[in-house]
Amino acid sequence: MDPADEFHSPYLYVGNNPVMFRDPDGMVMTDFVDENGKLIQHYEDGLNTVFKITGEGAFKYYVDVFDDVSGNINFTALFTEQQRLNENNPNLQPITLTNGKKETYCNFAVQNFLSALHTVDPNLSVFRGNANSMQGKFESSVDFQTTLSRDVASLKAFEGNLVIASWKNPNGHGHVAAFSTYTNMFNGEIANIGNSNGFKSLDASFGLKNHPERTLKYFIFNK
Amino acid sequence: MKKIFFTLLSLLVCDAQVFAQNNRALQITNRNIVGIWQLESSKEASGWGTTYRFYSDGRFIFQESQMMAYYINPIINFGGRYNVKGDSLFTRVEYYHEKTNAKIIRGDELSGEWELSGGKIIKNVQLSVEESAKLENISLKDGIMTFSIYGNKYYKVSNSPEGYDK
Repeated sequence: MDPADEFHSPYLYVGNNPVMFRDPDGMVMTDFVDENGKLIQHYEDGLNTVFKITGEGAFKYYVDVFDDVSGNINFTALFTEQQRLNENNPNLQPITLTNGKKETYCNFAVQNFLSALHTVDPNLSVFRGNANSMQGKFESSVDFQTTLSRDVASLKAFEGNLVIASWKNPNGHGHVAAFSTYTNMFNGEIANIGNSNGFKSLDASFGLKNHPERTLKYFIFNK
Repeated sequence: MKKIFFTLLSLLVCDAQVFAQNNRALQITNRNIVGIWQLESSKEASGWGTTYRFYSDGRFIFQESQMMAYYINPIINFGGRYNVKGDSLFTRVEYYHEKTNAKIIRGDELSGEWELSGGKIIKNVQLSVEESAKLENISLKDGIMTFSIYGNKYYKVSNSPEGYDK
C-alpha cells in the first residue's frame, strides 16, 4: 500500500518502477529530475518534493517545482545533488582561450547554489561577481554566518549544511568553493570547480601546500 | 499610386536614418571607451582575463590575465595615457609593474603548472612616444560592445574601471 498516496493508485508500488525506487514504509520522497523529468536521484525522506534541473550553460541548478505541503525542504539532499550537478556540468570545465589563458568558473558553481536556494525562498539573494568579490558578498549576507574554523566548517558540511570556503587574493585571482555536503564528503572535502574539477582536499583546492599563509574564510548557510 | 510611392520613400528614408544612427552609435569615443574591456570573453569568470581599463581622466591600464599564465609572466600590468581620435586608439605607455627576484616553482590548483613564488613587485618608469592602433570590428550585440585591436577582440564588461579591484 501507498499510505501517502503519492501515485495515482494506492496499490501501485513505487509508481510501478521497483528497479529505480524502494519504498519500504510507503512514505513519500524527494525526487531530483533532469530537464525532461527523468529521475536522477530520490531520497526516502518522508517529504513530497520534486527538484528539476533548469538553466543553461554554466548556470544549471535545481528548481523546486513541487513542494511538500508541510513546507519542509530536504536541504541536505538539495546541496548534495547540486554539487553533483556542478561536477557533471561540462560548461563548468575550464576553457582555454585562443591566447592560451584559461578561464575557470568556481564562482559560477557557487552561484548555482544561491540560484537553487532562491527558488526555494525568493527572499534569499543571488549575488554575482568573480571569486574575489564573492567573499565580501558572503560577509555582508544575512543568509550566511562566518566561521574561521576549518573543523567547524567541515563538520557542518558533513552534517548536511551548505558551507562555502573562500580565499580573497589581494594580488589577483581568488577562489571560492563549497565543502562537500553529507556523503559527498567521502569523495573529498571540497566540491571543487576550477582548473581541475572534482571532489578533492581543501589543501589541493586552495593551493595550501605551496601557500600555507593563505587565510580562508568559511560561510555557513542559515537554514 | 502616388500615395504608395511616398509611403515607400518615407520608409526608405526612415530605414536610412536608423542605419546611420546605428552606425554612429557604434563608434568608439573617449566617452564610451571608459570602463573595463576583457579579451576574448564577456563572462565575469572566477578571475579577470586580460583587460584594458580606461579611465575618464585619460589614464589607461593594460592588465595581464589573472588566470594561470599570469603566474609565470613577470609583467603584471602597464599603463599611461590614452586618447581616441577617429577610428584609432592613441596610447603613451608611462610605466609597467614587474615581479622581480621571484622563484619558479611547481604550481597548484589555482596557479596551474608553474608559478612565480615570492619576489617583489616594482614599478618601472618608461618614456614612450605616442603610438596608435586602429579600432576595428566595433559591434554591439546583446547589450555588449566589442572592438578589435590587431585581431584581438575585447568585450566591454563594465562601465566602471574602478570595479576591477572590487
